[in-house]
Amino acid sequence: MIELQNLSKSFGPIKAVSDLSLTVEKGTTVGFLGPNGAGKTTAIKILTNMISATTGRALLNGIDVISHPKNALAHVGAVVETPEFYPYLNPVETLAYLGRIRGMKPNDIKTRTNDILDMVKLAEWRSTRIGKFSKGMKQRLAIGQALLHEPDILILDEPTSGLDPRGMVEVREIIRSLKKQNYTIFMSSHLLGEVQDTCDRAALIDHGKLLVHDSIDNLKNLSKVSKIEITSFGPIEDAKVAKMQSIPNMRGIDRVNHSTLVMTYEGSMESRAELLAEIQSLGIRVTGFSPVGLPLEMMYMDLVKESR
Amino acid sequence: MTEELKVTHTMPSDSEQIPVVWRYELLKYLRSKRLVASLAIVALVVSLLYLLPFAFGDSYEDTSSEDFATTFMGFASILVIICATFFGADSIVSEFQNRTGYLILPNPIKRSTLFLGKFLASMTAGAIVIGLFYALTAILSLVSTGGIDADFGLSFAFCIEYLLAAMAIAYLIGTILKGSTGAIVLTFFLLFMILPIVDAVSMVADVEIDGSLTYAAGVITYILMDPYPVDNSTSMDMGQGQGLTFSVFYPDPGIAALVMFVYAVVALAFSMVLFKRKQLAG
Repeated sequence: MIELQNLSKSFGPIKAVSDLSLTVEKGTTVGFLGPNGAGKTTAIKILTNMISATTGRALLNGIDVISHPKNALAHVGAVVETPEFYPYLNPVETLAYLGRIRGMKPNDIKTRTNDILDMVKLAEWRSTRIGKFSKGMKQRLAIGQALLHEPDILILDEPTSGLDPRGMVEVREIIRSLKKQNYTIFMSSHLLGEVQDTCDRAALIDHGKLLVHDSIDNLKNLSKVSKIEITSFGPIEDAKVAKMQSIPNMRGIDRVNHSTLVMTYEGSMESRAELLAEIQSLGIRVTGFSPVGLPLEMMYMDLVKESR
Repeated sequence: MTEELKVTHTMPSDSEQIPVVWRYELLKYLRSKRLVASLAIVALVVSLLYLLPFAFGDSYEDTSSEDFATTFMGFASILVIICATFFGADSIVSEFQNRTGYLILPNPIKRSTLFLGKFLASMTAGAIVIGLFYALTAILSLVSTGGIDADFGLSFAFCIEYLLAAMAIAYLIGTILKGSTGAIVLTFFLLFMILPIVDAVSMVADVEIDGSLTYAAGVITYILMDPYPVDNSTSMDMGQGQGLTFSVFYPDPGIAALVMFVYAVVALAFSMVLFKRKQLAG
């Protein structure tokens, strides 16, 4: 379990994290969302003993990482930003180094190294010095080293950063498989689709403050504003578009082509059903009526806009 | 998974983690060629010191083992500065500047453990270089003069103590500065130029600065001289009734040992505290 209790961190006059409290229950996968500079990486750096907190506590499995970092990090695997590796070591040596620091037995290190390098698709580079690796290869190895000791908590800061689309898919598959194995995963990301696809819950912060923390399903429904694409059989006249503009809670209409519009509408799922009926009552022969964009994205934009 | 982990995976103690860090840091010095370069410098300097007299038509035939060792040990303190610069100056700062700290710091290892492992590796690399220099000098002294100066071992001990103090200073600079280049340049120039300039000016000003690290390091060579040299002053007539008194001071071996020890302890303590407080931000 991960607990942030009234955590604050200031860099001079700038408050990067402000009274942040958040709990990641054992066995859950929580996405940590927020715009650039929201305080995500700062909170993760405190959790991984890279920086100290100004006030508050950060607990890993109930142990304070600030006062007892060694014990707190014993069963944690972490990838923070894209770490640099020691260029004079190859992947096997790097994993051996980190495994020895963690007290893993030589045979365990050997077995796990083979498994990990296969998993992150670096087996053929096992003896190549990391100084020659691309950013994507380093990111894959970073994820591998976090899993080496089979931790029960994984802290991932932008885990797909620097990866090509195929690498991103592979990393998401790894995270999904770990999720099935009951890992506790705390993952920051800019990619809302990634969080929506891989996480059970999401926490959104801005200006260092927690805006919301809930299940993905609840968060999807939290957004009041949605974008809906409507397609008709035949062109939609401008006069009808003007009438649609006056429908209550309609925030805007963009024309895509003569028969397709994208509406920005504020309302519940129930009122959306009424909206459809109202549009049809204008004589528009609707052949398509579907939300566009990610529900989580709408929630994100709503809440971040409100907090600024 | 967790239960299985607890059986096969026992967290090592701090003292068990230090040798792990030490081993991989030493590997860094080997593979980055800094250690090989330092050993090459030793080989080159010893060769030059030994062979140049022959090239100039002279030899070490009538030289005493004391004079032989004194000639060679003039280079020992420079070698210490090279070692501190190569193996100590950027050891800490590089973890932050090169972002390798992002890999190592989230692991269950105390910063003090990491610091000590690194420092011991730096000292080991430096001691290998200094050890080779003394070993080669001893062999050549045996070959050329038929013996080794009685205080040769003591000189080696002082040299290792100077290495300890210089390395600690290098680590302190490395924890204060944010860039490797700055740490390397400042370490080298502080020990090679700035402090020696202070020492030289103090001679002219007729003030003995016992607390200067580089002044204290002079004991590495002076301890070989028998009898141990004593402070003296030389007055020069500059004409027109003007005179200049130039004093030459020699560090007391006991005080020199104490000064180097204090530098080592204080610099190490400060650098460890600073490293523990250093933030991996930005």
